[in-house]
Amino acid sequence: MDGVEEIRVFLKKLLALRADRQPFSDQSSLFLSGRLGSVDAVEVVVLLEEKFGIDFTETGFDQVQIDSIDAIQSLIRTANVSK
Amino acid sequence: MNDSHLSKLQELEAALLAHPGVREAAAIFRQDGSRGKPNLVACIVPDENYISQALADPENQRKRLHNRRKTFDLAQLGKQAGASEPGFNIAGWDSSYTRTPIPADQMREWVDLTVQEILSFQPRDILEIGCGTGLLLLRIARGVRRYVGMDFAPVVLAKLKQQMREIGEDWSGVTLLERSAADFEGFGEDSFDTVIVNSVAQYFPSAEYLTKVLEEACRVVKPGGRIFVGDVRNLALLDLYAASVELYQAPSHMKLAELRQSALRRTEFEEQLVISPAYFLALQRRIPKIGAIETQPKGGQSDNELTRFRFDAALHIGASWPEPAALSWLDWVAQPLTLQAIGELLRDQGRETLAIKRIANARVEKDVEALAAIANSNDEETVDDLRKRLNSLEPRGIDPQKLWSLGEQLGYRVHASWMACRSDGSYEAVFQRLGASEKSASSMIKWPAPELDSDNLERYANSPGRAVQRQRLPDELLDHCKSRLPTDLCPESVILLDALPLTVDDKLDRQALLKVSESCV
Repeated sequence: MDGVEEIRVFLKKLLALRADRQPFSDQSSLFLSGRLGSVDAVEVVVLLEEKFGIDFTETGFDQVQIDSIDAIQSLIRTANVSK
Repeated sequence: MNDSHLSKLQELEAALLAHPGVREAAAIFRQDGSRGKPNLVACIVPDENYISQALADPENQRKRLHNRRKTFDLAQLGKQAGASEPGFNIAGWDSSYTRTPIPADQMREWVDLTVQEILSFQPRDILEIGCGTGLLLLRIARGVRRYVGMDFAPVVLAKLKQQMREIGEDWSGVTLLERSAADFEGFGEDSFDTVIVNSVAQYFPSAEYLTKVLEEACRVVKPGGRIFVGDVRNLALLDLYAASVELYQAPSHMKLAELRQSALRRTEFEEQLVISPAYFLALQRRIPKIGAIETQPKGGQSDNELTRFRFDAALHIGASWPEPAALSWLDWVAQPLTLQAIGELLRDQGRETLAIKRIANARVEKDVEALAAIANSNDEETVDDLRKRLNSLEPRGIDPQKLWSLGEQLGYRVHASWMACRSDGSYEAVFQRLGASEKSASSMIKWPAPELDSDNLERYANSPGRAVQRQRLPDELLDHCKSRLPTDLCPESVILLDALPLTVDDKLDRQALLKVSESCV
C-alpha cells in the first residue's frame, strides 16, 4: 500500500523540520509524546482529508487518531469501511 | 588532503555562499561507515535575515494563520467539546505538562477572575478579538450595551452561536463577526471603551502582527477606556517554563545534561508567540494614545502553567496621565518578609500604602531551582536526583494570590507587577487601603521597569516558526547545489550550525568541524 509510504515520508519530513532525526516505527507516538505539535497535526489532517478523503467532521477529531502510523492506517480503514 | 579534494570543497563552498540563506559555509569529506568513498558534507551558518524574510512572506503568514485557525476548529470536533455544558466550552485547553485537559475547576477559576477583572472597569461597549466559544462573552455580554465578538475560526463561532441559542435570553447587544484579528474594517475611531484580547496573542504569527492589532485597538478605544491583553505568556519566564515542563515529563534516569538539551529545544521550537512585559513599555513609547500600562501576574489559587507563567496586560487609553507619585519600596531580597509579617505591618501600623519589590514567587520557586540545576549540572546528576532535591526544598517565596487574599481580608487593594521582567518570576506588590485610592490606582504606580535598549518591538517577543523555517534551509540548499553543480560536487547532507569552529589563529578548523558534523548525523 503506497499510501502508507506517503504518510511515512510526510511524517519524517515534519520531524526533520523540528530537527528530530530519531528513528520512528509504525507504533511510535508522535503527538502524545510531544515530538510533533498541534500545527503539525493540522498538516497531517489536511493530508488525510485531501489525499485519503477522510472527513473529520464525520469521524470527530482526537490526536490519538493520528498519533502513529498504525493509528492513521486504522483510521483510514475505518473511514473507508463506513463509506 | 590532496589538491583535487580541496578544490572540490572550495567549489562547493562558493556555490553555497552564492545562496542568500547562507552566511558562512564550509564543506568536508566525512567517512560514513567503514567502506566506500567518503561523503561530501556541507556545514553552513544560516543568514538570519533570510530566515526573517521567509517568515514575513505574506504567503507564509497566510498559511500559518490558516493552519492555526484549523487547530481551533479541530478542537471543536473532539469529545471534550461535545460533552461541554453551555457557556463553559474549554475544549483545547490542555496542560503542557500532562498533555491532558486542564481540570475544569481550574479553568473555572481562570474564567471567573478574568471576568471579574474586566468588569471592574464597568465596560459598556466591548470589542473582543478572538472570542472563541464565548467563555468571556457569554458571561459579560448581557450586562453591557454592545458586545462585538470576532473570531477567525468558523466552527468555533458556530459553537458559540449554538450555545447562545441553548442558553436562550436576549443577546440583541451582541454582534459576531468571522474575521481575523487584524481586520478592524468598519470600526470607527473612539467607538469602544474596552477591547479584549484574552489568551489570543500567543496564537498570532509574530510580534509585528500583535503590534498591528494593538495599534488598531488603540485607534478604536476612546480616551478613558482600555485594552485588556489577557493571559499573555511571559517571555522572561520562557526558559523557566521549558525547564519545568521538560523536568515533569523526563524519565527519572535521564541525565541533567540531556534534560538541558530538551529544554533548549522546547524554547527554540516554541510554536506560540511569547511576549515580554517590556513589549508593552516599548509599545507605549510608540503609541502616544496609551497613557499607562500594567502587567500583572495571573490571579488564582490553582497551580498550573497559567498561574505560573502568564500575565494580564492592561493598556489605559488617554494621553494625559498624571505623573505617578513616588513610593518608598521595601526590598524583599534584603528583608524577606513572611506573609504574616506583611499582615502585621498593615494591621499594626495602619499604613495607607505598602510597596514591596523583588518578592520571590512561590509559584515558580521549584522551577527556578530546577533551571539553575540544569544549567550547572555535572555529568552524573539525574532527573531523579533533582526531583528529590526539589521535594526537600524549603519554601521561601510568596504566592501573589496570598497577597491578594490578605489584602481582601484587611481592607486593602493589592496590585502586583511583572514589569521588571526578571527571569525568576519575582514581582512587585503595592497595598493601597480601600477608599483611599481611585479605581485606576494601579496604573498610577511607577513600577520598576528595565531600561529599553531598543524601540524595535520584535525584540521583546520570541519568533515562533523561526526554528522550523531554519530547518527548511538544508533541502533548499541541496536543490540549489543540484541545479548548479555536477553531481559529484553535490553534498550528501547539509548541517546547520550557529558558528563555524575556528583555530587559534582564526582559520577554519576542519578537524573540529568534522567532529561537530559527526554529532549531527
